[in-house]
Amino acid sequence: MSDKKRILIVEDEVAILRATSDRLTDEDYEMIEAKDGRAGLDLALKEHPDLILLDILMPKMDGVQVMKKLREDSWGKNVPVILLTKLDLDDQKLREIVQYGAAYYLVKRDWSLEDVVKKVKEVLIKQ
Amino acid sequence: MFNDLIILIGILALAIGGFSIWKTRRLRIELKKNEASMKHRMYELAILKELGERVGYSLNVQNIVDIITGSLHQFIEYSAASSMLIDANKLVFKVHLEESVSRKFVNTVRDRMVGSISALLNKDFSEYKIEEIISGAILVEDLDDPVSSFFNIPLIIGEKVVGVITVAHKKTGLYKEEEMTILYKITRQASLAVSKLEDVVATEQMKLNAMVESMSEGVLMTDRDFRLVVANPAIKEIIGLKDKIEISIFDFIEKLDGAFDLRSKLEESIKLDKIIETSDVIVGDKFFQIFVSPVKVRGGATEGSVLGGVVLFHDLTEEKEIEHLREDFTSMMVHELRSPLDGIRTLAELMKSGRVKRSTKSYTEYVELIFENSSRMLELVNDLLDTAKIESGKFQIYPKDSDVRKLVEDERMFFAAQADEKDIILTATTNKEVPGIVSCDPDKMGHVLRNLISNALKFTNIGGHVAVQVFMHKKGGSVSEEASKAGFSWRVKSKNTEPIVPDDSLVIAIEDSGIGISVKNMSKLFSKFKQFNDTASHGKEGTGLGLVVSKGIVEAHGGTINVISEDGVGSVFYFTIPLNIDSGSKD
Repeated sequence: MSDKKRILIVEDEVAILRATSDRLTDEDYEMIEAKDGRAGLDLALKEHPDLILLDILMPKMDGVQVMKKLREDSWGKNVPVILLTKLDLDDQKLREIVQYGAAYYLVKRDWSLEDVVKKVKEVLIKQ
Repeated sequence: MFNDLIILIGILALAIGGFSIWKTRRLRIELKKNEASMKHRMYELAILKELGERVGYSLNVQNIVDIITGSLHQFIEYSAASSMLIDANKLVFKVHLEESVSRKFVNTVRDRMVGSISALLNKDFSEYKIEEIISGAILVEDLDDPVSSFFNIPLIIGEKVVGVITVAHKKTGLYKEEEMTILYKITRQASLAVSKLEDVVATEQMKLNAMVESMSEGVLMTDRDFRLVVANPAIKEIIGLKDKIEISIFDFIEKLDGAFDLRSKLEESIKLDKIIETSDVIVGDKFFQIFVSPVKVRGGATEGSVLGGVVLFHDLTEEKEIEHLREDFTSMMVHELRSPLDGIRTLAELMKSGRVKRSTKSYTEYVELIFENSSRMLELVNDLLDTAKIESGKFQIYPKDSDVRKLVEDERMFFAAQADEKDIILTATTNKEVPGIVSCDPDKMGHVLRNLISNALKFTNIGGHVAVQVFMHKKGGSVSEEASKAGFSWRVKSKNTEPIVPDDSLVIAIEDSGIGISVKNMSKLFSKFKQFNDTASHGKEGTGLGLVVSKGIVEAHGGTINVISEDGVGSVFYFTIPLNIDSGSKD
């Protein structure tokens, strides 16, 4: 196993998945990709990545469910999660998910790819 | 001789005189008799008129009996005129004394009346509580006159004995058949009038009850003391007391505890004399708007007096659900539009940064993704605009002579690559009976075909098949039989009666071996506010607007769109285009 930090990105919008994943690969992270919540959860529990980038509105299993299941797991309860979301801060879903303890959340309306890169670095250095 | 004659004349005169006196007396007796009978008739008429007037206002038997007993003195002599009526669990005994009698006299009358009611109803009433009301002259204990004359008239309403009227006198031998007949007649008339009126009221009440019973809104009514008077089946269902037979207001208060303070709302409504409305009351798993209103007498002598309160439960659940669906729809649209746009922006940001070289594979991939995302958005915006036009009735088609075979083949070619990718066999076949040229809007028709084929491919698993089939429908024919006659065998069979299809139409069917649609979801297929949950759980994209737009296009052609499907077996979506388009939207 390399000493590269591994990041799991769970995102159903292919363009965002592609761009984010490629950009972080550039930063020398090892990327694991999932296009829906269920696949994301499975990969997370199997691969134990150092960080998870998680979309909220997704098919099969939404981000709230993924978070909930993740936090029930002995490994998953501590893994840092950055939420990639289009939801407003006062959205019920977002409030629900924050109560499960996301490391940080971003609202897509405001963020740029570089913001994500910066945030990822910040979180991973703290580890 | 002469004397004899005189004597004879004298005798004759005497005889004549005597006769005339006798005659006059007889006449006088007759006259008196007539007069008495006239008086009785007059009395009868007067009392019947009075009864008629009074009965008009009231169905209260006691009132009617009071009128009769109160008027008896006009034609009959009595010491006591009394009535005894059966109430729920007691006897109401009313005595009017014309002259003073002893307690014993009244008791005798009372006991005889109880006896006669018992005999009439063949039931022992001696244990019943008796409510006694004495009016008129006072009781004098020293008197010791027994009841010497006495008669009873039963009071019958609606073929049921409800009481008796009694006339009693200290003197003996007073009451003859005549008096009894008159009283009997009057009582009978009154009884008939009341019975008829009760019938009318009962019929009206039945109508009213039937109306209240069949109302989908929950209705309950209470009297002034908040006792339950009416509770229709809807409200029993709402409150969860459907199977309970005996219910009281306390059941309602208990069941609504915490959600709605029924009693104080009723009190408030009656006190303030106004309708009180409460919204969003949750009972069980439903939302209600509750109206509490006072019920007052309208018209008549007691106008304005409060009878009680009525409570109406209006179910808002469905409205709430629609509101919820609308919100869901909006947030889904936002998601569906924002996602691809976010993707485009993110990719553009990455490319703008200069990190990606033009010659790389990634660069080509990004351009491809941007193109795909913007196409998706454009399609969605077009669907939204079309839906809006369809809903406002402003949707237009431009029919022209079109080659259906080519139209269908073009769409097959368009999807060929996509079908290949999933290893799905996509075919398009047109039956030879289909005319070469059909009048329709080819662009819009292509749109419908694209929607249906793309759906079929989306919901058909790897290795399955999607077939586009074109054939003719004749007036009165069954579409599934016609499909089979044209050589197309459908995996799914129509379970319900086939929908009515316009005469002589072109039928285009898209048959697949896909996942099928459950009966529950079938009805929601062509409606705007559905989908998100369904599609999300299947992991398929889509807003469901495609079918709404398709339906609008087909209907603008005067045709119909239908679906036959079986969970896990497959689906057939087919639409019809009448050969003679008589479309108002034609330019």
